[in-house]
Amino acid sequence: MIATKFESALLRERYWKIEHPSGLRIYVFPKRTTVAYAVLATAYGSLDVSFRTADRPDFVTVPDGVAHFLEHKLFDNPDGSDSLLRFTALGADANAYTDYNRTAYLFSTAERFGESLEELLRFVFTPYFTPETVAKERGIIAEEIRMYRDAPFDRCFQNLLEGLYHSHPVRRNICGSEGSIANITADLLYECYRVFYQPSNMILCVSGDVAPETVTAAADRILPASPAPRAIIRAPICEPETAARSEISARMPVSKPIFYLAVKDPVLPPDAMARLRRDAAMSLLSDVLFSRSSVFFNRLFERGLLTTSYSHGYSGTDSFAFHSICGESNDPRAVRRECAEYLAQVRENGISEDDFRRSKRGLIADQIRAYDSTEEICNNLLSFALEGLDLFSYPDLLSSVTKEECESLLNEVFTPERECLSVVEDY
Amino acid sequence: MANSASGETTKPIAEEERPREYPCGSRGTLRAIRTDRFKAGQLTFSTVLPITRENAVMAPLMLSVLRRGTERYPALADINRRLDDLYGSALWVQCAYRGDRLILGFGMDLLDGSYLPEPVNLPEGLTEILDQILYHPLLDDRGLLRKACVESEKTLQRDEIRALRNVPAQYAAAQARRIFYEGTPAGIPLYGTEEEVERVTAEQLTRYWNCWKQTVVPECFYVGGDNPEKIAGTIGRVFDRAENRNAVPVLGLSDRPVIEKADKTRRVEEELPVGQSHLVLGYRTGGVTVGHPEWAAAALMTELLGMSPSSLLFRNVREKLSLCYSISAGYDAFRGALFVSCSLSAKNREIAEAEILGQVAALCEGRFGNDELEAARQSLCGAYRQLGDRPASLESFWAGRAMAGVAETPAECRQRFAALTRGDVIAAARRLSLNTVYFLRGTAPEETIDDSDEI
Repeated sequence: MIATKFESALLRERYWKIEHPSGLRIYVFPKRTTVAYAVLATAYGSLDVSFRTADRPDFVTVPDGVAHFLEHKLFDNPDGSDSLLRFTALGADANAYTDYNRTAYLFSTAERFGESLEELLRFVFTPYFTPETVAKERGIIAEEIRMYRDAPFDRCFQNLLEGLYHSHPVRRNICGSEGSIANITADLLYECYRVFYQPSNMILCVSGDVAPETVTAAADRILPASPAPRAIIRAPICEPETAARSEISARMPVSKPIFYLAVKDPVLPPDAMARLRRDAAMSLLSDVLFSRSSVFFNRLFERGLLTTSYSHGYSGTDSFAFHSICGESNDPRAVRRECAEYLAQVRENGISEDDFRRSKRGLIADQIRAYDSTEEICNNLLSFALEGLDLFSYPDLLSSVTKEECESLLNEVFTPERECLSVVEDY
Repeated sequence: MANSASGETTKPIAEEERPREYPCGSRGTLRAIRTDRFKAGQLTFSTVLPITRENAVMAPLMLSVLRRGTERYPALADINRRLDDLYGSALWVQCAYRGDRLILGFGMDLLDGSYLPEPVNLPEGLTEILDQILYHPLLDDRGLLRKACVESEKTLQRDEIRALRNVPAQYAAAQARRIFYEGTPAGIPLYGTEEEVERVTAEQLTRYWNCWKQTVVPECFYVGGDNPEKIAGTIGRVFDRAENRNAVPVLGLSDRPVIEKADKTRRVEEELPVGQSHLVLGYRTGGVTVGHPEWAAAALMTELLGMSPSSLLFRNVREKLSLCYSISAGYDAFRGALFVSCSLSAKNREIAEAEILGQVAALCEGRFGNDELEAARQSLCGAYRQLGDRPASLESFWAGRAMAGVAETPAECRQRFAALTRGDVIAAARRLSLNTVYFLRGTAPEETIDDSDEI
């Protein structure tokens, strides 16, 4: 096994990356906490609907929602038991989630960590699906889909993605639809499992009062002998730079209109480090332009166009990226007009030195704060590991971003033809 | 200091550790757990008020208006920029009910000084902002809180009241509690009604603020690496004023006895044009609240009923019958109530309700396995062991215990859970009486949700 140690003087933290013989990449981040946290993830998410392995010539296209369906069913064991119950019996709190580019299984526990870790590795690497259990799960997932449809912010966000993107799979619901999950079978789950749950496509992150040797010993005991990994090839996604729609709206019972105003970032650097730098610069630019200390927020808040229910941020992956602001407003279209005028002013006058310094100081402080929770550490570590990046590189990268770089991004990214406004209004 | 398995040398918070108390000015108290465990500690300041219609409306409105601008920081933006200068420190309003009390105050996070590139006294910096907000807000030339800010915050508070229905599950939970607690202080909605907020004037709110200052007895809680005595001194200086020299603290969780039993079951149904429906059942726990000898048994019974994936409700209503995605039980240990919440299709309402009632009956009759009981016990003990890893959890745990006059540590709570028998859990279930059944019927079929009106 090859182990690499990473250290940060700024954060006074360290972690290890271990290449397990099975192909699994293991990350151990020691923290002397009561609770230890572990997450085992596959680089397989809702975007992976069209793919092939290197040994097959043709792409397979599957219904939306398979990754999420697998997440629900993987807790079932061949002996009829449910791993969620086993975790509870061990005193651990277990859960799972599916995102656009990953499916993650996790637990936190204050005792019997080793047994819980073995349970995590065992159930994820022991698939067991039957037509009966798959059919039964459809009802539960259908209720989950309905729950998100009734949540106005979720609905507004989902519509935003449909408005921003022409054909990219990000525009489709992570859970799929009631129609798509009707086409998911036990055989299909096995087929997707075999492709994406190869140890070489997976990452285990652990944080807590745990020695790296404890983790590798559990992996040695549980992980299957790994056949040669089959390379996964995703079907290329062709997505125009422009937004699919300028505006999209829906009606639901809401007290005040809810909106997302987003702009698509057309540049997706193929190099992970270059993407990370863009992420750092866009996050800093977002804070300078749209934080609660910004001229934009305070001008609109004082005029009653925005409320304290407000957020902003940048989301970037290797296949899609966008910047958004989100909130409640009696007049989201006026917010959009004001935003355009504001950005024109900043372009003309440049970013204020004071605002830039203040935002950078706050964001670097936030980086330090992020290292108190084992859950936050593990999930951040996982995000960086999926990209093959060192978690500790981010604060330095953030420090090195210049005002000029942010100004250049402001001109490059924020253009009207890439922008979409999603609104949810009352009936 | 002994090294741990991970080789780390910082010290976790011992479960048996109680916060130490420090005088905070002449009347207040700072409870503190000093630890080097966190990179960012937490300091909260709160005052305790009885829940009345006036306090429910005025107290949150007052804090929101005070936060809009001060003599030194005239606009909200100036306050936020000052917080950014203090390394992005957060300052948040706390306004919540606990028992029959309204807890009002501010919370703030404090980055450990050793991580700062320059010496900055964050506790002093944040306390200075607090002093400005509470005692030096911008006033008009008549000495009143500015009318424009009052009107703007009234609008936001009315929005907040209306926004409850934006999340149907939360709306259902709030409506069920309103019905359950009707006629008691906890039945008064936090933030009041839209009409009550509309009627508030700048004169009334200024008067309320001036009265409130006379009643302030600061209750503070700190978790972090700084010297608590110094922090208590810094905060004490803010609140040690002539105007509150006669202030008397509001003690306990309530001024009235807890209602032990439901005299009848109230059934209420409402409709909302959403896809999913929500069912909430509210039980009285026989007067068992924090500090009651049977409190631990009620907590374990609730855990077994519906607080984890191994609970009876999750396994039967969700996993066996596939009736819902989310179902859970929660114990309001400050008021002696237990609520079961379930999100489901309207067509499944009757079968789900029958199954929930059936699972409660199973508990009363002891129809549950020892493995299920042990899983619930493990889960509950695990939750208590985790408290020490988050400053906010510690604050919440100890602030509630202080109000209830209970000094048990998380470790002592776990010992009580460990000693409970099947009989204790069955007895706790038999004390339940069904008070409220609330159903929010979703009336929107999928196809009426319109997302096609592109402009």
